[in-house]
Amino acid sequence: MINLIRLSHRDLFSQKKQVLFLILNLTLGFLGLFFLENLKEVVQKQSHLKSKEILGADLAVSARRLFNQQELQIIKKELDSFETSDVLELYSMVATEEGESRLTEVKAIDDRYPLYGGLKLSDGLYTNQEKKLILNPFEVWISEDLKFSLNKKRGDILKIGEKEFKVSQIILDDSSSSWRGFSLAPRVYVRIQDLKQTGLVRYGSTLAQVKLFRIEEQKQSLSLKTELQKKMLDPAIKVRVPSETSEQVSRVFRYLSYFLGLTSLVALLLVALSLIFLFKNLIQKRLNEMATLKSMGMGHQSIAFIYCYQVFLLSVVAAGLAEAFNFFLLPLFMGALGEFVKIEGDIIFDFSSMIKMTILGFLFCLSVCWPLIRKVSYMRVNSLFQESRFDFTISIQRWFDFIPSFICFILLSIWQSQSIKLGLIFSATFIGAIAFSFLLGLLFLSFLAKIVKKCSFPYEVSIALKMMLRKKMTTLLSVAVLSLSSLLIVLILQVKEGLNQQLSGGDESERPHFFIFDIQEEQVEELQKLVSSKGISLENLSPMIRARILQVNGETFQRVENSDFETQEDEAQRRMTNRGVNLTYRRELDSSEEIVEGESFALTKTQESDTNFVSIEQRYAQRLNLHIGDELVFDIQGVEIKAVIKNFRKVRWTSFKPNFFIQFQDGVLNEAPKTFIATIRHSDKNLLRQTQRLVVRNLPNLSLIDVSVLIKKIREIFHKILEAVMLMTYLCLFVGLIVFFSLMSSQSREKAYDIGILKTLGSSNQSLNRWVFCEISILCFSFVVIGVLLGAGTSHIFLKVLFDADFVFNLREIPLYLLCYMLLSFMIPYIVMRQLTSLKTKNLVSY
Amino acid sequence: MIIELKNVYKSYAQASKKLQILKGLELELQKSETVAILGRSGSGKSTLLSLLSGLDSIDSGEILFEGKDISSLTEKEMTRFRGQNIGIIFQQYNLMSTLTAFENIALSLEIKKEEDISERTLAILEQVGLKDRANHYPHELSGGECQRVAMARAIVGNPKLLLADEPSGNLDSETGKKTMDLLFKLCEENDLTLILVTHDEILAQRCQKVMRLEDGVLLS
Repeated sequence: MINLIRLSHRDLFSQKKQVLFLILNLTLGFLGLFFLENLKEVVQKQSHLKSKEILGADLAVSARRLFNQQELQIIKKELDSFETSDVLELYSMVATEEGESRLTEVKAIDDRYPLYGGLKLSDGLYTNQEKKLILNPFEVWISEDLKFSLNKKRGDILKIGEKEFKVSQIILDDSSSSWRGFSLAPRVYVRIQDLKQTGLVRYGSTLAQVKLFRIEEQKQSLSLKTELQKKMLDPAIKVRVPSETSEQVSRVFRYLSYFLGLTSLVALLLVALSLIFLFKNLIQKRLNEMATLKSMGMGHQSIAFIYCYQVFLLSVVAAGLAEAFNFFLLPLFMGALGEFVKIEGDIIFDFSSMIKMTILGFLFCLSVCWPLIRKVSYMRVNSLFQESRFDFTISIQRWFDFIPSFICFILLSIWQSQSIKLGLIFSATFIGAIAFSFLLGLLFLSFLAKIVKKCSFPYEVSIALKMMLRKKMTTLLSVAVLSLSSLLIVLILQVKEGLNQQLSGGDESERPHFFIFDIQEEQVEELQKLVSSKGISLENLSPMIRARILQVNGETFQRVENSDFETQEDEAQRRMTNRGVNLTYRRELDSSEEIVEGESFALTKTQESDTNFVSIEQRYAQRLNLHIGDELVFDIQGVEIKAVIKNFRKVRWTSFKPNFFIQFQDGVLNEAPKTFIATIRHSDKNLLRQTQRLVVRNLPNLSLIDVSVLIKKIREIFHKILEAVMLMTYLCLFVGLIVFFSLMSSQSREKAYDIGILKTLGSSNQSLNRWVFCEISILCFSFVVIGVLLGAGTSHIFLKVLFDADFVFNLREIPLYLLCYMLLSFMIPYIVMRQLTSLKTKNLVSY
Repeated sequence: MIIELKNVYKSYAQASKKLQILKGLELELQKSETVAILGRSGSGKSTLLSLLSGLDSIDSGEILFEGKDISSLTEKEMTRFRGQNIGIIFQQYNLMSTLTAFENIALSLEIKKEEDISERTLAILEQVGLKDRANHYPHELSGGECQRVAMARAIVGNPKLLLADEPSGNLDSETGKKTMDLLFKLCEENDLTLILVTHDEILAQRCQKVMRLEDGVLLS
């Protein structure tokens, strides 16, 4: 064993240049993925350390409504002996004396708040122990964001609902908010008893009630949580403990990490291609020695061991280097990540996570190199003795040898995206893209072969073409690597364009400017009058009825618990199941929705029909596993209503019109207690602002969302995610260039030899440069064409399947990016090769 | 006089030492003459060939080719000159692995932008007895066949001077003899001037003139 290890070391040391190239490639391939894993680990650790402060309790029971008596009794029975604090959270307009208003998140607290963590206010800290600062009656603490947007200072008056409040403190930091930035509504703290007098807490108000408890014993909190969940009938009631940190980490950050993770895998895939090539070269150079050893009695297991150990060493060194880079990179990127997640204090690297990633890196490399190791281990000695004659090539026909590496890549994709669907689509797309690039490359080469046969070219062009044709594997690998890189450019920019189009698409003139919610039934008429007094009409007035699904086809609709490994789909299903539903009824479909499955039903229920029909939004139906014809039982304010699913609807959510997951026929729920939501639109922004002031002054419980602000916020998030993904893409493109450079460099010895011969035969430097120029130009041209074709295809699939968006070619950016990448891809090998052509002939012959 | 070397000096730096290889070497060669250069390993035989072919430059002295000093040519000029006037046969064949036998030979003519490339290539292939191996790659040919391709490549462009560095050094005695028979036949048929560097005394005797390279000078 020791001898084998020594042999492996000696083998690697004797090929320093190739080994260094391999390590460089692997390090870059690991860098992105390892960076992301370290980042996730840091965020996870931070949120774990701060989890109590973020939750503000050892146990929190919450609902997106007020608890009913029965629920309050359960809570009291189970948790009466523990210290508790009550919180109410709702969205409401906050108005200034001058009539300006803004949507805010109002957090109403009692004097026991917070049980953990606290607030950093302009005059000092406010925590459980430190309560020198008191929130006095009809005083508010406002966030800095609100202070700036309304231009208010301490002592100024703000109106919330029907009451006026004095601004007494500015919130500088809030431990209960787990992430910064992108907040649609800034936060305002008021006393809970004051909120009740504002008139905002009434039926249908968009509020959440939270009860916080100090338990201290973690085990006890967990058992209490289980007990409460069993007793609470409504799955929409959330019982949370601090250990469920995943819930507390920003969802935006999690989505970001999914996309970053997948992008980083492209770098790994690129490196896998170069690994096959470079490791093959490493083996080929030592075939004779291996043959000699085999003839001396060394078994194939020992040869396999030598190479497996070499893969292990290479991947461990590369993983170590990637981790070392991350020590420097991670702190640099922490500032930028503040937009997604709150990170404070020192960054602590987790050793076990490093080990885990190193093992993962090794297994991936081994799965890629295994077909080569297997081939060399079982090779017949008589073939191996003829080193100069034996061609240790990888045949495309033996593609199935790479199945373990495909499986490895698929598993990595699923793990990174936390989604079986997305992981499969991603891995299938990229593995398919490699296969297609090889196929298209082969077609291109056979076309070139015909051209070479039929046409006569200057000898420089002729040699370039012949070289490409006869070094088929190198040509195909180079084309595949660069095509994959250009595919990534096209894919990212296409998805960006597609989603941009979706956000700004549709008929702009039909898009509402304000979204009004919390409209009580008796306020509809007055609201209509107020709005029309400004010459604007109230549109898309939709009733909203709060309900709960009790049964699906006679089976109780149960709470879904989160598991250890939860995919995106599982999480979406859990979130959708464990929440209340808002129902509506309509006489006709809106232009933003269409029936995609099932039959249309009479939008107004007739007397003759006993059955109530509902229409379900298609993605919601998928998440809850609902089918056409399923019978649903709803609890609407204690009344059970049965309905049958008649059809599935596709909703264009980016129309920003009021739309609902579940829609009843008109005539079924008309008498149920409800609130309304509506929209207004007008081209005159001044008139809209005046209308907003009028509505807030006369109906202060109503909330208005400025759709343009909402779109801006969504765009902001989208662009921030995209910026981060672009950074990872740049890393992948850089890896692509390095891999291409490695492939070209590995040929430099051979090229130098050829150049030497040509020079000896009288070929001038210009001719040799023309040859190199021609060869690299053809490679670059073919990769751009293949990359664009593959990129257009894959982005079409991604946009349609994942985002339900249309394909619009991004003509503004793609040509520019591709041109830059093509120039870089061209220049790097060209410079290297030019150096060779300018070397003295004598040097070349003795190279 | 086709080639004349006057008082040629050449040295190489080896570690911190200067290794003097050629020390005032003199050589004169008439057109169509064949000369063998014998010498021990490390005596400077290959260095001499490098200088004659312009692959390396002299420290001092003169190399006159048909009366013209070629030692002062730039690398670009030398490359062109070599292509037009000198054919080289290497011990290691030095064929391009990605080109067939035919293409390797034709390349020499293509570089010089000559005419009737295909016909001339096929003709020389026939001369060296490899017409049926025209489309084979070097790795599909035997050592003797590779050397015949290399010889064909060297003479297809009708060079005035043919330089051969141990052309049979990599071949077994039987194949080596056959290959050398062919080389001398080709030289005779094409009226070539040949400088043959070898260890082989018997082979050297087949040349019109035999010289020994000893202590940096050529001795008759």
